[in-house]
Amino acid sequence: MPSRLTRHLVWTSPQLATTYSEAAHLELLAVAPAVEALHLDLALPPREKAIYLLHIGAQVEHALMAQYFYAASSLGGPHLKDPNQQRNAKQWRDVIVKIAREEMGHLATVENLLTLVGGPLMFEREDYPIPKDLYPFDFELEPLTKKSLGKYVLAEMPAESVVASLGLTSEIDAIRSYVGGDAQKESLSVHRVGLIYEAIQSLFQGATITQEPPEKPHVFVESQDISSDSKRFQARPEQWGLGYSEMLIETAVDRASAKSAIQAIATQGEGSTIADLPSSHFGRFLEIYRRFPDEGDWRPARQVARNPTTNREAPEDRRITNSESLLWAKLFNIRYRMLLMFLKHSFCIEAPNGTSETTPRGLLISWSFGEMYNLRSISDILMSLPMRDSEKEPLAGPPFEMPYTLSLSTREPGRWRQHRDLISASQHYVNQLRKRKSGRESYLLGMEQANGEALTQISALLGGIPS
Amino acid sequence: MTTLAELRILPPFAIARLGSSAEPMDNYEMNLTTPIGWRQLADATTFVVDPQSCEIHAKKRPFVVKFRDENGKIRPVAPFLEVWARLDRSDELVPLDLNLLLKLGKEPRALKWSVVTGNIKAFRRTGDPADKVIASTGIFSDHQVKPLLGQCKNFFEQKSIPLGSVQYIKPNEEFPEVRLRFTPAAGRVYGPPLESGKPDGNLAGEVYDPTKGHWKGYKDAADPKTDDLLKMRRATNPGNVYAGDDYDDSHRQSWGYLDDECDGIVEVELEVGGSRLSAFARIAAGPPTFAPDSMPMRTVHDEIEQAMLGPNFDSDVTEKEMDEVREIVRRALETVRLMNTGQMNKPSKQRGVGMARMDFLDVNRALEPIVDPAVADSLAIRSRHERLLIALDSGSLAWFARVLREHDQVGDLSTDGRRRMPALMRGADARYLALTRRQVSKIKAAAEFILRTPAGENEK
Repeated sequence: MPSRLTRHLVWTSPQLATTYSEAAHLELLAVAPAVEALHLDLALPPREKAIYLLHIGAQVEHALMAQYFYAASSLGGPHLKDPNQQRNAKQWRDVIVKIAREEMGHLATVENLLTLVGGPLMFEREDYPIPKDLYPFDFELEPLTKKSLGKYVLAEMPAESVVASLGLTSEIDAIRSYVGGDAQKESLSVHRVGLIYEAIQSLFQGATITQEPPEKPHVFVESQDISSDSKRFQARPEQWGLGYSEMLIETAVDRASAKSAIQAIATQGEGSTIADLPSSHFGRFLEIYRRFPDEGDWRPARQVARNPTTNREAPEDRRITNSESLLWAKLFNIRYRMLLMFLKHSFCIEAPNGTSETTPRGLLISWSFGEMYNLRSISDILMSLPMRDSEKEPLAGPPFEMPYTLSLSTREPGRWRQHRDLISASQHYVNQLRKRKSGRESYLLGMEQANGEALTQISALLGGIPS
Repeated sequence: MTTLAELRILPPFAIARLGSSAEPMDNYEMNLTTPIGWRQLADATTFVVDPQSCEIHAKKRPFVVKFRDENGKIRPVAPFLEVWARLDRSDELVPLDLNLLLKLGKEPRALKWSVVTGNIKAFRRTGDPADKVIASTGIFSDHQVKPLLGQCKNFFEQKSIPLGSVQYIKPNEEFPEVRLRFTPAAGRVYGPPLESGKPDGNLAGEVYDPTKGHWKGYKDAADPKTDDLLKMRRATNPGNVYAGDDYDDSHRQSWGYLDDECDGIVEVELEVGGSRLSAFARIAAGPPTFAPDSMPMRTVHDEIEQAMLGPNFDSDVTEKEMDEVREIVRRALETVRLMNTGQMNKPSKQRGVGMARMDFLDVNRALEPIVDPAVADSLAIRSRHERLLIALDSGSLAWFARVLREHDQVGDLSTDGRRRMPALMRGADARYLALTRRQVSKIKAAAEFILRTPAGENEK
């Protein structure tokens, strides 16, 4: 069942692309020769179409980021005694954390493009597991195994023709078989996210006007809808890049920069030539896959839960019920929401004009980095605690549950009050955990102090903002 | 029969801090009580020297740590130096005290002290030996305060600069150890008389004779086209860091000022069993601390550790090293809390504080802020450091280790190079500050260690 977001996308074979499109009143968006074609079953003007497709892109990048982060965090652990195994687990963890970080850069780039066309931002995504209407498998939070790694290889894979030109067809077929089993091979035809980005790219093409008035107006996003001065609101690598040169955060001010931003994301994901392969996500996952031990051999990851949740209605095997783990998981969810709210809010405040002005944008950026550190700290803690009271394993993990809302208040004071309230909510769980005296005291005390300082800063800011 | 193999003065290097109060500073401790808060200062046991008897007559614990006396004058930090001894056939150092002296058949006055200190800052620039300010006590064994009167050939007759004093504390039954105390000077400025004949309000004394020496009017050689190359070599980097008038774009003309800071050698000698044993220690006097509850990122301790143990940390990381690394990151937080980062990030052609402008003034780099002004705000930078410190055990250290400036990157003025950590700060060689190579090596080793340690098990 397609989700609310993706139900307007229709995938067909490329041979049927044109005829099917016309017969079913669909709009053909993009075609991958010899693979598939992407259609839209909704009439939308170009700008809105771009926003719709960018929203899908944002959700996918967001989901990939959380999924890769979870997988990377599961690697290593006290069960690994052999130094070679420890070294490999660490190396793979580093590589996958980097990829997760790069997905974050992709998400920021997509938000920048939304800002460029004045569209609403998209930090939402569906909860795990995410149904497979865009990928050949469910998105899941799970420990890294050879099978899950195979899924990541397929998710980041470039077009079949590129795979063939790289001489990887038989290897990819073998991965498909391994991941899905022979019986499911047919259902494992990959819908390439790359095609969505190609469709977005085409919407930013410049039209060569051959007649006046143009026969079909609004084929491309109109120039008047592209706001070059929105750059002051966009995420910039010098603010967000943390000194990681490979972390790609592209800003866009016109058609050319918008197109090249999309191209850069696509290339870093899939890679399309031999030269790009080692640095692409596809190439890096493939390299790990080749070296990853087979099932039954040594286990690089801890025994952590699959799709852990705090939801009481969820199936028992997904529910975190150990009381301490549950408190940490709830704290994680609140801090995750805080991160998304800080990120979203930072796009609402323009960067200082010149060097003399200061704005709270820098504070939101610092807080966002702080929450990234916090999420990592709490993930590590959760992955050392049991899911349930009765068994030592599986271990819990960060649930990455989406909050009931990520909407920001319409006015600035309300937004800061939202942050204030979330900080207070997180302090509730900090207090509960501190009462238990189960360790991690200095971390919790540090968070408590940082909460206190943030509340003081918000109070000062609220004093200076007209309500 | 007890025989001595060796004498030592401990500590071998003591740093005093200037102050004009007659009452020396009490001891205090810096305690960490909260994860990201300030260090708490706590009173600690302090020796009090009786000026009449020249003995330590009491230990006291003040209830409040005060850096100024009742008149608002800064209390000097006046360190004690202790004599320790190694007995024959022993590797252990023991305090040389009345009891040990008795066993050796010696009185306290058998110890012969001598102290020489100097302030050779003017000589460092002019190259004229007659500009050296030197104080020497000669040999002494009594317990009276010995003033360190800085003499200089280029001073007026009978003029000197007080560089502090030393006192051989008289051991007694309660405090039998052999100690010498160094009390630094008041922190005053001296110089030549003004040509106008009017008194110079900056000066505590008109001592320098400009008809004898050339410190007044001296200019650092700063222009390779016109200045003498030998003099260029003698110039410091950064240059022109003395009080004076800007002569032209690259030269500053000295007013001939001298301060009362100094450093020097304390020696002690004891003739015992027909042999003469001696030991020495270094002393120095520097300015008072105005942020006593904070520590700089790179300290003298870090320098000495590197000198002793080498630039690479290649042992196993233990909890001790983890604590040391946490301490370094905390010091980074303490440092940025005292910085107006927004201001220091601003590029400008005017002289002033901040590397953004110094990169232009020193090497003519294009005028640009160092980091994006949106994230340079003091509050934002402080918040970031606090959160870095809290999450140190779960990955933020890996990032920190990655963005540290290496010792050979201090002159890297590329955009990325300028943004390395420590950011916005100038080192002693005028370019960007880097941590010691050993500090960097230790932080990197700790970051690796954290990644190897099982999740959630780094909590101290």
